Amino acid sequence: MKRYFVITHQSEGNGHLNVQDLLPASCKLITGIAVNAIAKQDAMVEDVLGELSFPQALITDLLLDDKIADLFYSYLRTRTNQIDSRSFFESNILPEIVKVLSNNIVFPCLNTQQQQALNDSIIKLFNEQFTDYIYNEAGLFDKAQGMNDLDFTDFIAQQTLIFFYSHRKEIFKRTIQVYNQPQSYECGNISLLVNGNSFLLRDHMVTANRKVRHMSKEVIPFHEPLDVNSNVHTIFKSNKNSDTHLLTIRIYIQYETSK
Amino acid sequence: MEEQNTTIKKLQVVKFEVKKGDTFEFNGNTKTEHDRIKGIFLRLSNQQALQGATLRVWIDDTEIIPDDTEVALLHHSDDMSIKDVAFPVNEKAKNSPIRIIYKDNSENLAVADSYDVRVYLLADVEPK
Repeated sequence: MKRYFVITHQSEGNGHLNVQDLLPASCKLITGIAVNAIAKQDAMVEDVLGELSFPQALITDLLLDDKIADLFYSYLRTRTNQIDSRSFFESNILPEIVKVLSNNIVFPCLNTQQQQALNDSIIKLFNEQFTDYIYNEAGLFDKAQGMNDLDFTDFIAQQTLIFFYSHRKEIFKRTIQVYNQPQSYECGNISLLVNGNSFLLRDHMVTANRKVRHMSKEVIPFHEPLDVNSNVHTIFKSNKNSDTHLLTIRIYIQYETSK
Repeated sequence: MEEQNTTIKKLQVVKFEVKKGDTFEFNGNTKTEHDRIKGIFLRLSNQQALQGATLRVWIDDTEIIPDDTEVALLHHSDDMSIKDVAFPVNEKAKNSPIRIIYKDNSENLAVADSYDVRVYLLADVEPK
């Protein structure tokens, strides 16, 4: 069965290390070694913009509203020219759409102010740009001429969705705080000797704060039979890159037990 | 013909919440219906807290992970399958004690004040 033994040493103020550690008595065959170094640094908080997911039930909410269905119906019955149609859309249909959307799009991850800001930006976007879009780009007036009630509802719902989706990046975002993780850097060379003569590692470059992989990928395989009461000699030569950070070096010794 | 593997694989999950800078000690037991623990791996709800976090684990009063072992070495990263990522062990289950000492070192790293740690124990059950 494989077992592990951990040797931890700290280097302060770019100090070199020259230390000996006794290995456990059951360690008679070293099968692998892994080395990792961490320099403790304060990470700065940074505000970044994160994306919110696009709301799924948006159109369902819109179609569930009886008032809107009535409006669609009355639009088709009464509008004969584009100016008339546009003013009806702006005064009656648009406020309903805006109301439904701003009331129903709720993100639990936002606090009250953030939610309010999101609602405001939805209201602003629709009030300022939606009428132009649906008349000029989607061609509501011409297309609506030959439509029945259901087609018209469908058309409005689809165009709302298309318009909203094309503006999703400016609306569905929020500020989140992230901590900058410390940068990795080469901090020095390490040599490991068993009983003062046999090298396990020789001038092995140590990178501090690197991404640590899984144990099975970190371990460098060895086959080093040992006497009882063997020791490991650690020599670390700092390359003075650590500034004032406290550098923690951990050496993992994988060994085979007879059990 | 390939030899039929008759053992059944099971998982046991130990979940606890760790606060920034704290040490958490978990004492519990393996499930009675599990026969042997074959592997162990961890997942953190906030992976930014990984750096510097260490742990020590005993199963059935055997120290299988020594003091000061970095959690990152046993963490399940998304690019590996569970089979590969499980740190191999072979200890008796059947209600044997498990002890985990988890030391956080994320005072200056993680965003939230606390995060969840899940320790997964991969177990074998011999069919009766």
